Order: sequence, then C-alpha cells, then structure tokens
Amino acid sequence: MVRRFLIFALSFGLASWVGGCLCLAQAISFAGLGIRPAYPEPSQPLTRSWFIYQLASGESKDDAVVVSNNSSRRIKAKLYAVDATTTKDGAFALLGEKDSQQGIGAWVKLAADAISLAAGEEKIVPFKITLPATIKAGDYLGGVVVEDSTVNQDKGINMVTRVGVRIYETVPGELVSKLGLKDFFWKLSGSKPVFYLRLANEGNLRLTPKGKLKIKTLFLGQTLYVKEADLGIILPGKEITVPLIWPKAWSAGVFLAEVGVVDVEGGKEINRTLKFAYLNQGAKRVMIAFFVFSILALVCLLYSGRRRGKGYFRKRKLYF
Amino acid sequence: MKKILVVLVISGICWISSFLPVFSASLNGDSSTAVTQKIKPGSLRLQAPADVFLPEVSVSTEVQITAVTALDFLVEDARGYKPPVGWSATVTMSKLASASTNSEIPFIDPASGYNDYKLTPTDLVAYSSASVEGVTLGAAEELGESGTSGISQPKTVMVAAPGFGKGRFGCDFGIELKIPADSYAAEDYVSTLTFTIS
Repeated sequence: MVRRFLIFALSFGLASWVGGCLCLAQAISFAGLGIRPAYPEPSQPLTRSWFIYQLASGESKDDAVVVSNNSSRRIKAKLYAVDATTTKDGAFALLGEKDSQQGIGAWVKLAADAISLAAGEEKIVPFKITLPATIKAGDYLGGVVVEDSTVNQDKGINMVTRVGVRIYETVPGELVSKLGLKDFFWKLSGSKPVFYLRLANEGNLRLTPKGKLKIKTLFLGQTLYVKEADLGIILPGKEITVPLIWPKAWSAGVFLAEVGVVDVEGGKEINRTLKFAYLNQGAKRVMIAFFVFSILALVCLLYSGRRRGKGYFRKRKLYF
Repeated sequence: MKKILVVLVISGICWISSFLPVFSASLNGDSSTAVTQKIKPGSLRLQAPADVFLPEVSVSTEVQITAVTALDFLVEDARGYKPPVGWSATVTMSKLASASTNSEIPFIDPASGYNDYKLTPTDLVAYSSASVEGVTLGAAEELGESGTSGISQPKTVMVAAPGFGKGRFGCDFGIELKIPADSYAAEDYVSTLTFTIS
C-alpha cells in the first residue's frame, strides 16, 4: 500500500514537472516575421499600424517599412507590394505576388525585393509610392507584404505564410460614399437558417458597413434574436455577400427577418424585411416519426375494433 | 520511514517547481517601489497550421472525397496599440497539380459540376488573456478560381473587427477535396496554401 502511494506521489510530481516544462516550451514557440510602418505620425495613431496617405494624382512620397524577425533562426523573405481585394464575405485581403497589380501594387517601388534577417533582427526597407497623373479621386487600397521564403512542405500540401502592412490612399477630389443593399435572402445550412446580405459600394470611398439583424415570429411579433455585426469592408465599385447565422434557431416556424445596414462613417440606414418559414431536419424527423406513429396507432385501433366487432357479432349470432 | 520521507520530498519539489515560475511572475504587483518600464510594440504575426497529411485515395469511376483537418492556425496581434485596429487572416489555395503526369484537380469538376475544394475554419480559441469578442471565423466555403491563375480567390480564416483582436488566437482548418472520377494517378500531387495576415 505504502509502495503504491510512493509510486503515485513520485509519478505525480514528475508528471507535473514535465508538463510544466512542455507548457513553457509551447508558450515561447510562436515566432516569425513582422512588418510595420517605419515612420508613423504621432498625430495619427492609425499610422502606427497602416500607411495612410492623401496623395494627389501625379504626386509621390518616400516612406519605409520595418521588417522584423522575432524567431530564433535566420529568415530569408520576399518583399513586394500588392493591391488589396476582399474575400466574398468582406474581409480585407491582399492579392498574390503573381496577380495583376493595377493600383498600389504597381505604384509602390521597394528598395529591396528580398531580405535576410538574423534572429531578433529588424531592418528598415525604404520605398517610394508614385501615383499616376491621370488617377481619379477616391480610395485605393493595397499593402506591402513580407513572405517567408521557407516553404513548409508536407505530403501534398505546401504552406506559405505572409504578413502585410496595409496602405490606404485617398486621392482628393469629389469623394462619394454610397452603400447599396442589392439583395437580402436566406438559405438553410444544416439545421440553421443563414441570412445573406449582398452589399455594393456605389461610391469611390471604401465602406465599412454595420448591420443589425432581428428575427421575430411572424404572427405574434415576438423578438427571438437580435444581432449587431461588422459587415467587413467593401472596396469602391465592388460587392460582397455577408452571411449572418441565427445560431439558436427554432426547429420550425414562420418568421420575419428585419435587417438594417449603415456605413460606420454615416449615411442613411437601409432596411429590408424577409418572411421565411422552414422545417429543419430534426423537426422533419419528429414529424415523420409522429406521422408513422399516428398511422400505426390508427391501424391498431381499427384492427382491435374489428376484432371486437367480430366478437360482438359472433356473440350476437349465438343469441340468434 | 526515511525512504518515504525522501520520496515525498523529491516528488513535492518536482510538483512545486512545475508552477513556481508562474507564481513568482504573478506576484510582482505587491511591491510599493515605483518602476518605470518602456514596453516596445510587438508585431502582427501568424503561424501556419501544423503538419497536414492528405489521406491517400484511389482512382475510381466515382468522385472520391478526402478530408483532413489542419490544426493550430495561430494569429498574434502583439502590436499593443490602444485601441487595436483589428486584422484579417485569409488563405488562398492552389490547384492540386502533378508535375509527373501534367494533370491537375480543377476547382470545378466539368463532369460532375462539383466544387472540388472546400475550406472550413473551426474551433476558435483565444489564448491567455485574449478575448474572442469581435473575432470571428470565416464561414465554410467552396473555393472558386481567381481568373485562370490556378489559385483560389482569398478566403476568410479569422477576422478581428476594429477595436478587437489583441492577443493570440487559434483555430483549426478543415480541408475537403473531391477527387473527380477517373483522375490520373500520381504520387506527386501538390497544392500550396498561402496564409496572409494584414
């Protein structure tokens, strides 16, 4: 008994020690490349994270990025400028190196297109942005990307990692901010209804809309769910389709969805309503089970009634 | 009895040493000495998921579905600016292509009409003191090709809205592939996942 206790105590102590060491190792294992603006303007806090310019057409500016390596190994990396885009659901994204660059990606010229950083080292890489003389007023988005040249290769899948610093350029002139709600529809995804907002940027400034979705019962008007959400970013002239899920949806029913969308910079709120009804898989199964049970119950009832009837007639026959 | 004492002392020391560094780090608020500390901003970083091994499939007259989950895609916003500006992590995927047979798995199978590539971020986790408020995962999405580049349009993995996303976050990443019927057999099909944070 004593020996078992001693073995347990020793094992517990050793396990705790080894576990603690492993946790410590895991906590410090996250490392890699970083990139940020080299000369942020103290009066504009956002310039610590992004480049924000208001250059006129034909104008140029010299600036620089700081590329850092906080890992414990030397990293060789590629450095390039690209245009921005968005994902289907409105997240900011940067184009690939080989994609066609029409805006920021073509206007930014970096002093170096490759860089080698020792462990813990930081380097400043200058660049020059030059706007074409014929560029129209509005927002142009892009970024400078640092891409780890070490490809993590596995069976069938290569992994490449990139870190980008965003560039927001607003060419002064007639600036228009106009949001459009092109469509509001829903689909059943698994057992949950998902509402889709197809939003369009009809102006020349980037938009960052916010939305409010409200689900009510159609007949009683009882509010079942309210969600406020950031709806991503829409580049000038582009569209996005943002999904909004009703997470704790009822299994079945007839409902009314109301949505209100507005750009965070202001403007008129756009509202839409949508009546919808559904029966999800779980509810369908319950309905089918209930239907089958009802049929069986009815058959049993009829059968037993017939049996009883036969007996009754049989008895009656005995009397006659 | 002595042996018991020795073993108990050793195991006790091991146990205490497993959490003692954490305690010592967290007890520094009791001092009354004024300390001036400059804290330099860190950076926005990401770490690609751990090893991904696509399961083998055989050539068939029917579409073959293969799926794998890439674990521990990590994002860290250690810039330390107040308020945080938010970030977005996206991914693109290139077609599975074999150099030896000069064949590839298309984004849309012309025969079946199926979309052959589907990515699903799952299991959002916030590490340490980070909060998942304002941080969302991208929805499951079937990938479409960006023009004729052979690379998909970017897909959202995780997004932090402005004002959120400070600290470290992780998620897993489901990859589902539909291998079209009568595909060419080869051992060197390769695809590249490119993860970007900005």
